[in-house]
Amino acid sequence: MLGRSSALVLPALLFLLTLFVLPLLVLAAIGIFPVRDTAIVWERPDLVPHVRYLTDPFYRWVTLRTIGMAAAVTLSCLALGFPYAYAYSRVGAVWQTALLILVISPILMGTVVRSYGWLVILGRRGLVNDLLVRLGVVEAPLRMLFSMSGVVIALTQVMLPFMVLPIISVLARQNPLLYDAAVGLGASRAQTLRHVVLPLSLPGILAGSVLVFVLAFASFTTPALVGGGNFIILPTLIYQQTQQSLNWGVLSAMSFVLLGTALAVVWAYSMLMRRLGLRWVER
Amino acid sequence: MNDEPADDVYARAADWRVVVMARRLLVLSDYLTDGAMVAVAVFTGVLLFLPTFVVILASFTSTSYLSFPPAGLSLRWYARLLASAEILRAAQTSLIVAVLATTGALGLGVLTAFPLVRGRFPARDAVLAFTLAPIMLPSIVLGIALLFFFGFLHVRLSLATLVVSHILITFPYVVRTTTAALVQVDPVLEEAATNLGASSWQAFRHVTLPLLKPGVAVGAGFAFIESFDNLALSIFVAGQRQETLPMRLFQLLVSDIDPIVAAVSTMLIAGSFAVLFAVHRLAGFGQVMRMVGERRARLT
Repeated sequence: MLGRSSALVLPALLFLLTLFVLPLLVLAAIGIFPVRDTAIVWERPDLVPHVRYLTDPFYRWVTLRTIGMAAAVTLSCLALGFPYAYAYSRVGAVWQTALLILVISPILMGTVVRSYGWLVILGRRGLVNDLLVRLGVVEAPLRMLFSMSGVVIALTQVMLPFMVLPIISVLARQNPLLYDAAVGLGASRAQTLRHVVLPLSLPGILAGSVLVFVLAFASFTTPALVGGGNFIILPTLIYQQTQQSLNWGVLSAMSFVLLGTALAVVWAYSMLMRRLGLRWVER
Repeated sequence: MNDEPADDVYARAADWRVVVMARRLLVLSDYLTDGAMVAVAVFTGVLLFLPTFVVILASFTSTSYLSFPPAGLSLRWYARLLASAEILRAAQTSLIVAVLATTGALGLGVLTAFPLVRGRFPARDAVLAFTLAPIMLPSIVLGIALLFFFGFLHVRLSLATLVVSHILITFPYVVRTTTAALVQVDPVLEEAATNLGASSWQAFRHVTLPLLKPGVAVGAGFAFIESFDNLALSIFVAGQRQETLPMRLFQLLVSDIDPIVAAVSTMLIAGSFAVLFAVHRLAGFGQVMRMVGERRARLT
């Protein structure tokens, strides 16, 4: 049998050790030990950057705003994605292929490209404003770019596949007769949705929500372009600070807050799934 | 009423009417429920499609902003794109980086996949999880960690730092798709080849590799698109002279909405379809869908 030698795994391990583990350790050390010029002073650990991060009202505000934005994106993905996934489970094979291609289309586009699409749509002279002004709904163009609402709208489109696909995969595994049985026993569509489809898709909804939340929380390109310098969230703040003042310690603290929050959400999810006795949904 | 036999018929008729009414209400509510669900699903579909549509349309519009119906059609943004040395150079850089990173990722990924599937060593699952870890981390955190790491070691940012960083976030995809393909390959086939006199290299080259082709092709497609499209990592680890296409586009959009980006974007959309088509030819439609599905869980 070819390639049975476990030594073949060493190049990858070495590669990961130098370019993945060590950089993360250096990043952590920068937040713990003081930095002079470009060298870490290893003598006396202090947690000054972390304390500064946690006590500064601006950083706290940005962190809370990032959490709020990620939650808003998750909720709107759920509100739009669940009916879409439900529709997918109720139509024929040809429509299913069409809906599937449509839902994965945001993934096919480049990260910059899809943000650009939203810049054109939401801009002052953009499509939506053009339409609203012409229909007489508003008098002056709305300001949608560089605000929370614009970022949430754009991110919702970007993140929809991650919500829809887990729900679809969960619903596809269910016996369609369950649905027919509920209708046959006299339940209305609404009741069937509420008492049959919704509980059955719960694992998918939970998995999708966690994925969307974590992805939205750590997303950079879309918030940077659609939110601009006006609507700053944690990842864009990190980037901005590397461009301006290189306060290494605070940057390290910010990165670990970002990482920690993402890991905490995933951990809470796995705990919840265990409590509910559900399995992790194959993404 | 019921104790009067004469009214019995009417009473039953009234009951019957109630049943019919209830039935109609149920049908009505079903229509309303279905209607609401379909309406939201259609709205979602439009939302999903809109940016792609708008980008392609904007690239053919003669004005620098977009309105409906378009003020006029023209190819002026494509002409400007072909005249822009900056964009062409950025595209060239991206292409070079993507080719180098994909090659590196393929070598390292395929090599690592073999012991992970066929080897017997402790904590094999942990090692597999570890090789996939780089793509589980937010790109921006990885980017800043690498920036500090290179700075700490006094390594100057260059094409090399950019390429190795891209290998770091692309080779896990190759590991993932190749391990999935390798599980399906029966080692008995290789044994047969070596028993018939083939060297181990020949057995690998002519038996194993052709069987792995779909998985490797998908992994390569992934790696290429991921590298070509990456922004969040590149902005930290690229040298001064290695501006990639996403970085160039990002700069163009941060300052102003330049329609030249629409022309580039349309070509990129066409390009990603070309890559998908290539994978489709090499590995089939099912693999294309899997590839797209796998690309989902990427933290950008």
